[in-house]
Amino acid sequence: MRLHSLKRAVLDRVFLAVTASATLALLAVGAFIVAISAVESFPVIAALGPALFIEPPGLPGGEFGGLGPVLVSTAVIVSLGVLVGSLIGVPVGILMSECRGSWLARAADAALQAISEIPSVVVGLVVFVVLVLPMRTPSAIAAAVSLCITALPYIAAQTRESLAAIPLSYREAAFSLGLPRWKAVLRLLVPMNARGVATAVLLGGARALGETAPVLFTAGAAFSAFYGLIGPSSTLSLLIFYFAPSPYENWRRLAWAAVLLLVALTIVLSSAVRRLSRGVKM
Amino acid sequence: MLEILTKMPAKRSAVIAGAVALGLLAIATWVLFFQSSEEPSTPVLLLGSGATFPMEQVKAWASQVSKVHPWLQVEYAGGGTGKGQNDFLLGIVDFACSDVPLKAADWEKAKAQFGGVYQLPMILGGVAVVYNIPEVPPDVNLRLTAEVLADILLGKIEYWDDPRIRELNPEVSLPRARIVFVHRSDASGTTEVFTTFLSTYSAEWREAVGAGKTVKWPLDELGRGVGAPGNPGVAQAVKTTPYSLGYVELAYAKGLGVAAIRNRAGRFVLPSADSIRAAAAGAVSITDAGANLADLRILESILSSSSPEAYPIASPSYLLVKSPSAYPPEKRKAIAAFLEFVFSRGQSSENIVEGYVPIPESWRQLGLQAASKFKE
Repeated sequence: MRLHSLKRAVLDRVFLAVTASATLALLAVGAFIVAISAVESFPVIAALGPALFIEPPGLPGGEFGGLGPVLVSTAVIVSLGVLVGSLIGVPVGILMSECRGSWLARAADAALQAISEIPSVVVGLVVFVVLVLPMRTPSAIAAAVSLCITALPYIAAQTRESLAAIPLSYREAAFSLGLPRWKAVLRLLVPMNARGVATAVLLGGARALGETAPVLFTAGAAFSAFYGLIGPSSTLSLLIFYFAPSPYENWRRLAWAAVLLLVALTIVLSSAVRRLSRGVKM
Repeated sequence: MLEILTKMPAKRSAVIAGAVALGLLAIATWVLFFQSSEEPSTPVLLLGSGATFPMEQVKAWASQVSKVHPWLQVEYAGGGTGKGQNDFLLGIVDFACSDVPLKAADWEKAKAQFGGVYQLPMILGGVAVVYNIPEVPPDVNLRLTAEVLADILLGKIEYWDDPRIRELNPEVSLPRARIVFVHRSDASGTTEVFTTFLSTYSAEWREAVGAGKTVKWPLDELGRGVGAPGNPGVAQAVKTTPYSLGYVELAYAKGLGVAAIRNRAGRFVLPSADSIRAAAAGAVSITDAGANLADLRILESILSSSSPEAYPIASPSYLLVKSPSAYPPEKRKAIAAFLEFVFSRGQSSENIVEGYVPIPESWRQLGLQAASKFKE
């Protein structure tokens, strides 16, 4: 009997130790990512200061330059992609939550599932064939469309989940006032859940910001300036893809600066998501 | 309005019509004479992709040409010769850079699609054979031949003091040390040029190993070959490994022992801008850049150049543009300005990035002739 309880205590401790060390390992990985991008990009950030946000990248093997045009392009592409993604994704999420079980909602659910499971490089290739080839140039628009498609499932799913979290009693109250369903949703449930929708949009933004594969074939790799919506373009993640493996010291440092910016932006966005989604405001 | 016009005396409406006609004529003249000769008022962007070997130079030209023509912007994305040729054939770039001319089938395709294609050799590079033998003083350059190099790399010559190396370098005292060979671990145009050179001179190498962006190095199996990434990687490995031998683009040979290589004329020549240009000048002549260049075997003819001053391991990089009619007018003007810059001022020494070699005069004329077609 005592042996049994001893065994149990030991197993308990072992299990605790294993889970705790796994958690610590995870924390270490996170800390390591932040630390190494901070250390590696320090020389650029120290040398450039605010010029990092203004100047275009320097010539290969020359001066550092900066990330200015790439930041502008990234902002335009990501916000356009997320805007369009939200205009489609939020209504789809509402439909999936409110008309749960209808054939349309089931079809939308299946479609979103499929899109989110397709490797994002496939999305990039499809947009390449559908948009880049007929336009005869890679463009910011094409990049925004492919990011929109990758962010769409996240926006719709988050919208649906947050609406589903509203207690049934509120719905019943709305219906008992004689409100038709669309009015109940638009006037009551969505405003009540504005934070949920905002969370969905931010989550889509975080997703789109970090994706590289969808923009690989669609954005072009024009880092020196922003050439408008139908001109070739670039994003931070694309710059990392092109600059990090290059043989040029200044480009590799710029890639690290882009890594640090991406990490920082992602942390800000995801902590905003967490803060907003902490609960439905009643 | 109509009423006013009809009520007006005939004389007055004639005057108005004349004034309008004069105005239109003035606008037309202004458009014809000023707009066509003046630079475009809105910026024009040329997008290119392709070989990574000439990337530093193309990016430098892009920034230089924008200083001369502020309306012209050139973006070059790199991505490799394969990507460049593919993007070019798909029509999603304005120009491409390539380490080799288009294959015959691709050239036919491009010609059918764009009404023609110009392949213009724009810049030269050279591959230096580098070594680290502590006993050899820095002011002495080892002499090697393609045949001896092939035998070293085939494993037939194992030590630096082999009689066949000593025979080429009677005045150098060579140590009895095993030769360690450093090669590229990544797919590389440098490897392709170097192995094509060995294949051109050694039938045994051609049959046993051949040429390519990556090859199966016989010394790897003997445990005396090591791979390193990129030109900087190979240069660093040679620097830190005594008794090693390697090959790098000329720009990366600094601080290392550089071998003089025997050319077709029997002379031992060191790699330099002059000797590399001499090799290209002695190559097969290109009479029409719009023709199929793949059949000319330009690289092979440079590698076996008969000019006595030629350094034999040199290779060109090509600029690919479509026929003028395949571009909208403003892009045509931009291509003309870019080509004109690349093949004139772009070739002068202050505009050439270290490690690259300007092209010989005959190739510059080729580029300028193409540029003039874009101005018509």
